[in-house]
Amino acid sequence: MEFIDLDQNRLRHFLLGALPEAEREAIEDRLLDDADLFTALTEAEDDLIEEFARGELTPEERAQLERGLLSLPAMRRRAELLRTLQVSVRTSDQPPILEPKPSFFASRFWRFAAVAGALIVLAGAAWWLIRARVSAPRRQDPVTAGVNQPATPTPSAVPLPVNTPAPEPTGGTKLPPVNENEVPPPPTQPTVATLVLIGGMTRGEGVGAVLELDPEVTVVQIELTLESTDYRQYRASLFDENGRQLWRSGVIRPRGTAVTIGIPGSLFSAGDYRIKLEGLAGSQFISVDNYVFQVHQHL
Amino acid sequence: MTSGRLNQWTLTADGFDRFLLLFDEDRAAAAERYEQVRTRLIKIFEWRGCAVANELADRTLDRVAAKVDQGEEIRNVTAYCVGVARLIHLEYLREVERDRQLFDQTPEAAVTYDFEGAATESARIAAFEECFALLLPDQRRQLTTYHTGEKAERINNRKSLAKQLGVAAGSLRIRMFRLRQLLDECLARTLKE
Repeated sequence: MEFIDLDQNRLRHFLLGALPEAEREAIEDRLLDDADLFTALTEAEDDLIEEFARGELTPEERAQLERGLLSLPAMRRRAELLRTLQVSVRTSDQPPILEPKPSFFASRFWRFAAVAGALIVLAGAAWWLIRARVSAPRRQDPVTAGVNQPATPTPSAVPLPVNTPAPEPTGGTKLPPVNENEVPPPPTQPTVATLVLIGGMTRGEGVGAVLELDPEVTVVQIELTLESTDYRQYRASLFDENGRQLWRSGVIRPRGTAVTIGIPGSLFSAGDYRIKLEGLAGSQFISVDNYVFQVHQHL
Repeated sequence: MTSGRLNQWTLTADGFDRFLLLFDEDRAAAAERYEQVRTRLIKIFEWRGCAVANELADRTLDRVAAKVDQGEEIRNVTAYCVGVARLIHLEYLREVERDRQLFDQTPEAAVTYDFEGAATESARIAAFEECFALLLPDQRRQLTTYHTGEKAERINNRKSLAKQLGVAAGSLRIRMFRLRQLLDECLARTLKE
């Protein structure tokens, strides 16, 4: 690459539309011929979108990205997908699985052994089935079965369990099991708990609403009623009793006089919570209301 | 192929052939390079925030091909394409401005991204999980690992993942891109339903 000092920072500025036009053009002049530069830019683009989705960008970067790249529907969909993935990962109890690279024995030898073992078992099963067909009479009526039947020896090596019960899903965990041959499970419906919160209450008025939460709840759908519909777009944030922000929505549009949000159930434990609702005025979010509620968790 | 905005100019097959051969003397290699240049032009327009990047890239290539067909001698075809792309971009900006005035749209203070879209958050999460469950276990694990962790941790996760899978970082990125594409398509379908 002929570029001097074409560092990550500069690439980011290019993508954010924050480079002077002459510098921007200089990069574009190279783009069609410089594969490294093109790759570096697409990687930087991936990073920016991901950082946006994770809320890691500075307000300035965020605004630049929203004006530029994120004005494109495809990019917005990409950001949305990554954000949903993040929510999904956050609601999972399991850390990401970075499997250690299997050793030679753990991979080739045992793979070979497993295949050989499976072949032996299959051969045994086939032998047993053939013998059973040859030696046993045809399937009989249950009434007569077992009458005057020679006892068929049951080979101890025939495993082939037919209806092995599937392992129970672990509560709330969404990461897949490690079994490579696992057939993807059928999609499960989310268990939704709903709660309606009235606006206009202050903290001093106490915690009125209570959410009785069962452990299997995957999504808590909360309807935030609005005192007035002054804004066309809103944003909601969830805080625990220590004021720690646990979750934040994207931009939401009201439906009638309410805003509905869905929060992953696994974010909640027993305690007090507050939802801060902000309205979008121009390019700024302005605090509109606070909604407090309590969670009682059922075991 | 027509030259789009180049006033009734119709590109001949011979003209297009001559244009293609500017990329490489070998026809197959030239076609490959043409596609590569088209992809990069699309990204250039996207990075300038153009909503119809594909169309603008095609317009650029058509315009260059028409020039070749008209007998213009082009020494450096990629540099020429970038130059034409710049003109096309200016035309595009003028078109956008004209449309804006036509429809009397006042400029918005900020384009704020609507994460919700038409779907509620819970519906989106449910749809995502439905789609995510359709991926193979390994694919789910890889995608989760690839996108987990804060900045530095994420980089390390990706390096380890690439090492585990025995692929280069770039290949891993493309692999993840394809998985996300699958998810995106599934998500669009599911939310539509």
